[in-house]
Amino acid sequence: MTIASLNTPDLVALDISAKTPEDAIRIAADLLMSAGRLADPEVYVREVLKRESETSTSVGFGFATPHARSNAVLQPSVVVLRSAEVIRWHGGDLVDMIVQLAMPDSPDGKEHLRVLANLARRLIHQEFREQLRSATSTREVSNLLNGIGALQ
Amino acid sequence: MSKVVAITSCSTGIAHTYMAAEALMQAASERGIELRVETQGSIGVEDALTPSEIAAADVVLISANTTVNKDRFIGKRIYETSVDDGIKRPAEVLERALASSIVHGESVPSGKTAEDRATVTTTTTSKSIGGVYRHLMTGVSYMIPLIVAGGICIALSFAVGGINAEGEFAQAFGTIGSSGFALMFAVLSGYIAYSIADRAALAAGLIGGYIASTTSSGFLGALASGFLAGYVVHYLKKWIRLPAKLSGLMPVLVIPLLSSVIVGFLMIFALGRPFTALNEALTGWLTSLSGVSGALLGVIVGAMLAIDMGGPIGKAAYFFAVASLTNLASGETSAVMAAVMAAGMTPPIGLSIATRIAKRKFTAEERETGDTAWVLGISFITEGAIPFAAADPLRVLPATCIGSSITGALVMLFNCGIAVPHGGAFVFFIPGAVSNLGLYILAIVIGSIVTALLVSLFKKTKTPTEANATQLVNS
Repeated sequence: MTIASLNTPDLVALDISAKTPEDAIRIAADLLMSAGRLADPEVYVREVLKRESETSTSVGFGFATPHARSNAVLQPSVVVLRSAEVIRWHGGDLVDMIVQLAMPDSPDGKEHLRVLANLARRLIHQEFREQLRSATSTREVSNLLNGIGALQ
Repeated sequence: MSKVVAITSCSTGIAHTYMAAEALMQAASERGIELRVETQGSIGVEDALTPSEIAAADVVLISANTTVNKDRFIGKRIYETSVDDGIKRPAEVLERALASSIVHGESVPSGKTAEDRATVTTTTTSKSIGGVYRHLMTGVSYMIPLIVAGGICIALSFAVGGINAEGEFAQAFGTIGSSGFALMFAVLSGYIAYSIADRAALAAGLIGGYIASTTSSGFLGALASGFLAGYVVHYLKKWIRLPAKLSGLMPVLVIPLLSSVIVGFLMIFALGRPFTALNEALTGWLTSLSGVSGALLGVIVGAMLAIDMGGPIGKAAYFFAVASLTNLASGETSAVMAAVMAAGMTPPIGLSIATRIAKRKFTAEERETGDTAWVLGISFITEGAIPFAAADPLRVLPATCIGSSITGALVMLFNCGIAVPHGGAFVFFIPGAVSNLGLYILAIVIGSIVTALLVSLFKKTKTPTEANATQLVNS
């Protein structure tokens, strides 16, 4: 299993216009919905915001990783958003890159979780972050993510 | 080479657990620290720490916002922080972990290896200055919300109900505010104690701090009580050995009871009485000073107001000034009262300015506190400066004393006076309450600026670690 099934170019949006974390989280939910990966965007958004309210998912370096495990998710997915303007995230950090993770409540097997864990680890590395941030197409971002499964 | 074992964990367990693990690994390898990380995420436990790895480690680091079972680490030095800190400040988290003096577990149960016992004895003696500072900052950071909420409510009671806080709403605000102030010393002391010796020390710390506020030994008394409670509990834990059957009573009964009684008695008899006596002696002394020149009296009451921010010394000056109001004929004002109120306003205003002009000398949390401190200052709530004074008394108090003395002297020289005992800037708008209002404001402004400049001069620039210290403590 590679991350290929977790992300496709239509789950990537570059230079979105979002003013708040909620805007970005909704845009991600819309992409997931159009890709047929969500049963109920409202439930999913609520779960993501609930997780945000526990502690901010901003991880520094301008990156945030909003996420949820929810019944509303049909298929494990990763959405990548690049915001045209910096967004003041929950907790006050400034964020321009949003890597949003969606997991069904009870996924089949652990492979997806492991790929997500690897993606999370990759985000700590500056080189990978720079590649994501400077990507010029949704395809390029998707390819970067797809490279992860193979790396591990 | 330092050896650290760590556990990372977050609530959903699909991302942050692994980011923290990776960030810590990266920071550790840059610093030549040998690190092993166990991840407790949605995949389950991975890279589980082995007993021999735990035994060989200098310290256990837990970077989690879930409850992690720590039974494996009894007798080990331990440092706990949030999963976010592991991701955002991995180098600092490792540094703090290595400096941690907290040993996990109430005692080392028999049957543990000699190696574990050795760890306990070597680490409990390694209390460092850094540790003292961390305990202080823990207490201060838990106290700040009470000062801010309480202080602003008191200011609101004046704003709504005028100088005597008249009317139901004003009185309600006043009650809320004074309740906050009644609790703040208990919380300061309680959380210093908690930081030193964990939950078992909280009772003695809260009680000691509350006694400090009721015996008017003020924030200096509360600082003393917090450290007293923390170290009393620390040593009680070490010295008292109960039979295994009764050891469950230690954290819930034996330690809280014994330490509360010890700390309480010390606060009442050893600290409380001298502070009360000091207060009375100073009041008498001030009365005998009525012959000295106005400016000198202004210097003296100004310094007294700023030295303990509402403690026994400041209170003596305050009540001395209030007494001067009782002999006033209608239309007259008291210069001493004016000096005292002005001198009590400059410390928070001055520190608020200082956090603006010398950002690098304050922690992030102190800068945020600075944004509200001026509100308390203009309301004559000197307590607004306590978070700064408590965190760095030897540098902050001299600056506030000098600033307040100058304000006190200027008020006397400018022939200012007021006819009311409190209210801060709110009384400026009452006709006849203040004589020479323009010069009075000038005196407060000058003293505040002097305070700000001196604080900026005296305080040391924070290292990045210190600048975020309270954030680490808070998480």
